[in-house]
Amino acid sequence: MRSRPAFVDAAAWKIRNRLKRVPWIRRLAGKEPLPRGLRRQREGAVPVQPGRWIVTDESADLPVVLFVLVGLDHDETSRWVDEVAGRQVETQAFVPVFVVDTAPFDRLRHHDFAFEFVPPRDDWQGTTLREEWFDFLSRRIEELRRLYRPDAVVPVGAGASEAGLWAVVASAGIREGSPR
Amino acid sequence: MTAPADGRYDVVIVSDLRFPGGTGSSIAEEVKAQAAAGYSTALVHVPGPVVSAHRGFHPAIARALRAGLADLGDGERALEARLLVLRHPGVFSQPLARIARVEAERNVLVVNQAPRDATMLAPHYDVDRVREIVGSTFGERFVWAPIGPLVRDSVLGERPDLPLTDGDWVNVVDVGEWVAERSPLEGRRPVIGRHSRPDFRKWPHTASDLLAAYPGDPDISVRILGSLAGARRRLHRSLRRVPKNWTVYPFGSVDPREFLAEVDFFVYFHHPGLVEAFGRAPLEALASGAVVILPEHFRRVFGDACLYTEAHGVRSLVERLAADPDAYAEQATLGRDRARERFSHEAHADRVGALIGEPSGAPLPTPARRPIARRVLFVSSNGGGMGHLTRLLATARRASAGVEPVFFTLSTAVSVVREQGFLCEFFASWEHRKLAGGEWDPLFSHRLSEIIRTYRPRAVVFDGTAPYAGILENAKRHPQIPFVWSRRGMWRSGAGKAFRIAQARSFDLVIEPGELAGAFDAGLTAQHRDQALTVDPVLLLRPDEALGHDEAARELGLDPEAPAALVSLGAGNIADVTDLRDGVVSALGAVEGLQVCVTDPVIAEQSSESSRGRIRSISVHPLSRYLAAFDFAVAASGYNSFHELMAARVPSIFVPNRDTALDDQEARARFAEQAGAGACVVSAGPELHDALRPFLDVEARRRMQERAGELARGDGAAQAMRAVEALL
Repeated sequence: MRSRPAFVDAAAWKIRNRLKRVPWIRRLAGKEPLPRGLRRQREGAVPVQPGRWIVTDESADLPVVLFVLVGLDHDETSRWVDEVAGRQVETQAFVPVFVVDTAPFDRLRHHDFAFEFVPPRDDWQGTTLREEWFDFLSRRIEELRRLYRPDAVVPVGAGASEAGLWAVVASAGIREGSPR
Repeated sequence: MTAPADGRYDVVIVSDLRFPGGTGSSIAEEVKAQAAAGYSTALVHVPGPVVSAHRGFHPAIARALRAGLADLGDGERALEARLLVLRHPGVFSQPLARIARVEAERNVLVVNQAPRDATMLAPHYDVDRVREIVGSTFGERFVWAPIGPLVRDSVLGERPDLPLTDGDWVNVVDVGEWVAERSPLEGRRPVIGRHSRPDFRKWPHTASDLLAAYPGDPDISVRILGSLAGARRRLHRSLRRVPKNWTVYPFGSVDPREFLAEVDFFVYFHHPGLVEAFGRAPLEALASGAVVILPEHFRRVFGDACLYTEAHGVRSLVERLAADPDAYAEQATLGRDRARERFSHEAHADRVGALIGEPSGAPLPTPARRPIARRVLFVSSNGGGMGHLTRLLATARRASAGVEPVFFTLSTAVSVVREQGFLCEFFASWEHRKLAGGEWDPLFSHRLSEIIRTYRPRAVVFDGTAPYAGILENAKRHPQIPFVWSRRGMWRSGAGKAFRIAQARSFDLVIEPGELAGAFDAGLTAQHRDQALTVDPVLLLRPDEALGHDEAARELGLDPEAPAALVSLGAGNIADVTDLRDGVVSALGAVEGLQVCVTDPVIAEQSSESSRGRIRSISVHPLSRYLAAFDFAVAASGYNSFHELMAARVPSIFVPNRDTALDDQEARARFAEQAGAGACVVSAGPELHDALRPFLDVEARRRMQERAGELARGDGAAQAMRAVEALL
């Protein structure tokens, strides 16, 4: 049995209680069928591990959010990964996939999240590759959109605000799970 | 670039900046040449009738603008220039919707397309109409500048009274940017290449000519950048399918410089009805150093820079030069020299200078040229430790200049690769993704395929005990790329499947990293060693890269004067080594005055305890750099730790991990013991205490060091890299 930090247990308790009361959380947490549109969107997509903190056994029906954390340093990447983990614990409403350009992957692996690594710009420019890193990155994200078919793609830049980030997630119809 | 202080540019170029082929490339090259010479440039975009509306600027033009080599005029503000260049008459064949006036001292219309094809059917543009529109928009005083003799003839055929420049306004390239190093032709198939827009007129008219110029012959490799549009129907008539020796890349999918670096003979034959205005692709091939073979009519453009024949003469020319490396080199050098003399940036600057005189500004620093490297893709499985990745790093570190290693690994130790200065791609293993093998395999195969498309390696080297389905699929999908399997031997007796050995058939080369304990190898690979190239042990560092005793001790925070022991029992990802490590540390901790360092491997999933007094946890990479700090070691006998400790002559008690799937660690440990260079212990119990005794004795340790020294072998990593480079 893997140990969980106290804040996770507390949040999980809150979630379980909420699951009993709120119909749309029941639905998003997989207790009731998802809206037809969401299910159809996920058909044929790459299966994504839900992460360590999802309590439902039907995570395959949860919306997928692709967080693009490119151009951040390792500490900031880790901070955002923890932020997303905390929000996922609270809402149980989505499954994240991260695009990162920093290593090591300690926080991502701690939360058992799915992630993709892209070589950072400096590494790219140190090679003889002629394609511009921006073009490479856009191709890569396009490919990931095709593979994961995310319900939302959220770029997180340096100094991004949490409110802005979650507003983008909510605008993709995943807001119901956000209690704040 | 900022606008000149007096608002007057040296050169203003007006054209449709969206042209996808040579027109766009030529504009970008002229901008670069002008910037390098100090001529200020503004570009004005005119959306002409030739290009589809849904298209952006040519990427090279966009790059030049982003690099600040030219300004983009907005089409509304009037511009002043010393020289106005309009490019492509077709753009000006219909009234322009909105264009600002450009006042210029000299006006040139670059004619890079003949008014009509040789078929004399529908014209591309009407000379009189273009003249009228250009005159009403930009003024009458224009001189027409054909880019080659065929266009000149064609234009004069339409209107003999047109004012033409004396010389042709030939296309230019930055020759230095295209120069590519090629592998010698000896011992391999010659490669014929072509690069053109996907247009049926760019292909020979008949299947017979097409297959004569680009033979469907397994003795010749044919590579095509630009898709088969227009050729497919002709091929179908005679062959029904694309020949197996052809490799086709979609137009724009590959950097032409890298494409041409793989081409020995650039062969370009087109539809007889097409009046090819110049031949930018052949020029790029000349600059790259390929031998260029063209139809006779190109002689007026390129002179002795190229060879000329009919489609049916291509094969004999290729075979003759492929068999005569001196003649090939002579022709390639001549072609490149001619490109420098007549078609270079310097030649363009001279041309502009002849029209308007000296540049008004200082040369702009142009973006640094990126040399063309022969790239090798190193692919590692994740494994329980870092053995696969470390062996590949060792090999990659020995790459020659001009060879660029790129990594694609399933190991999470991406940082280690980056620290060595290599670009690294990562793909999560099926365990991390929580997928079954059947779900993971296609994903991996797809990703590897994308990686190959992005990095265009000249060879792929895989290190792992079991090639994934995706490796085998891609080896089959890319027959032109040599695939190498770095297959560590020393499989436990009876372990492993015979079909794994048979998978060697999918590779062009199998390299077996050398084993000091090779005589103890009773596994499957030992029975098939004749199919592999066995090299000496593959170690990350060369001996001269390791630190000396005092320096290594100080960097690890150890007292160089006091004895020190290393405990390195593996990452613990295969089996929990906590109890074993505690037992070893406890035994060593009882030795008075002994400093003990316990490794905390980079990829360990369980973190070890922190330092406790004389016992400290270290996490350094590469560990072999610091091994001289230790008087002895207690270590797992995985491939890397075993050979690194033996090479560093550190007397070691080897504790084999018996839970590995294949690796016979016990055989290595027993070998070390039998050779008098170490000891083998399988548990941390009383056996360890007994084994420890000689390691606390200086004289016994010296004897073990001597034995390890006698076993020393050569640099297997360098040997492996040489073998890989021989395939490039």
